[in-house]
Amino acid sequence: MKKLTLFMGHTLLFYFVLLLLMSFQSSIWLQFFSQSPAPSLWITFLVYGAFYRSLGETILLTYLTSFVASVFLNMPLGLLLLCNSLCMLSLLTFKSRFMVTNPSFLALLTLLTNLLFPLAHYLASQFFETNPIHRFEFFSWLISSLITALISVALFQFYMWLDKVTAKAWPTEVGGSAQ
Amino acid sequence: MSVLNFDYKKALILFFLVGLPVISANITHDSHDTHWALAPFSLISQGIQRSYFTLSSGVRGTTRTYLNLVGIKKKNRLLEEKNDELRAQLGALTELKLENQRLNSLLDFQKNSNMDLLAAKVIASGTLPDHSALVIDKGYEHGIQKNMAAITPGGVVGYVIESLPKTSKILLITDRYMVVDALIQRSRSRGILEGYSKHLGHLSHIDSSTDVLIGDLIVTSGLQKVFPKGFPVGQVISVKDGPQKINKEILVKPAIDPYKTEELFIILNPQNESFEPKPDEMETALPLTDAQPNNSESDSPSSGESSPLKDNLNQESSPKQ
Repeated sequence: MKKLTLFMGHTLLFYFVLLLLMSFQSSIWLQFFSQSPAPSLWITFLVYGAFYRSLGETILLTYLTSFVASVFLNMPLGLLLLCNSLCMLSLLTFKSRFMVTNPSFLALLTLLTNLLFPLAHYLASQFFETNPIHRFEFFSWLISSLITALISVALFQFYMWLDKVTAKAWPTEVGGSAQ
Repeated sequence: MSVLNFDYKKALILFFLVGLPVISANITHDSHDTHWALAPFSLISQGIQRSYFTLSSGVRGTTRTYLNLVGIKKKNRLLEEKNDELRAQLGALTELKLENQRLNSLLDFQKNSNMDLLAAKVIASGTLPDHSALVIDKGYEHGIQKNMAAITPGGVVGYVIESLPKTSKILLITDRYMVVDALIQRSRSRGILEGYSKHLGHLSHIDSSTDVLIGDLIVTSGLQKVFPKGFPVGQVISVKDGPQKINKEILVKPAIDPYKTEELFIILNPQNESFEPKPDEMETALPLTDAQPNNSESDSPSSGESSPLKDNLNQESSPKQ
């Protein structure tokens, strides 16, 4: 019971952080940087989740992140879930082949995932939407990816600190042993 | 006591001590004439005095300059701080002035309109380039419901897709999920305006025989009962024949840039208003550009009795052929 309460508390805390980040992305960024491409901060959650959560938690994280992000992104939930799942699948595939624990390397992965997301979105849009994407906003996504990757270095440290504070155990592949 | 025994030494001293001041007191000093014997001394002293003055004034000047420099540096820093402060104030005042102008134009529009309009501020926006939405600071507690139109005096912004107690989400005119029943104002041909890209719309269901020119104004048809009739949506910037030449592919630049919108109106009852031009205005209607294709049927003047909406479009866009 205590374990479940801890898990719930931890999950809620993380999604509160995600809500704050997404609000920052949609509101504060607009006030200061107007129309310049905003960072895709939910991607950092996916990347961190892929490496620092168990498989079951990763699936839950993908769903919850998509629910929260769809509110702020105005993207259809199904499409967002599909794109996020594709990104997560790619990250898990990468994880199964490479051992990554360095936040800087995770930032690089964030950059790549952030570039993979619009590609998945574009393809999914061509298949599923009646009025699909006509113009692929490559530069907008590229700038957004770079900004996200830069911010993610600090964010990963913050996520790790949150895990430490809330005594969250990492899967054995990452830390070597459960903490 | 002999006269020869007189002490001359004492007498001389006495003379100098007492006699000379007494004598001097009675000598009048003539300021106009310099004695010839003093002239060389005066000349030399003058030279020396001038040299001393030049030297001392030089030293004093240098010292003063150095001391002033210290003061000037301090003063400069203070002035720079003051300047920065004034710049910040100027920036804030300019921002206030611009806001005031925008709000005035909104107020004028609200006063002259028959519609019930609710003013709202944009507080957030969607961040993906492929999905366009804004969040405003008014919700259903203020009377906003789903599918209500969002406009500015310049043109259509979008419509409400979600209404929460204190905020509402507006789907923008450029979003690919946006659909507006629209008319080409000059030829009265009806079509469906859909979002195309971040800054463009696409007018579909226009058959190839339709009279449409670059620069034509696209207005709302009013059939959806969401937007008032004849309200500007955008301007045609590109006309091409579609596949098999059945339809025309028309790209439309929105009348306003929805991403730059800071304040907007939500229309509570669109049926009370029509922005349709009067018949005499129709003769001088659009296209707005001077450049016309060769098969242009309209030789109408593009100036003269232009409507404010038309003026707005002219200001906001510079259409390409």
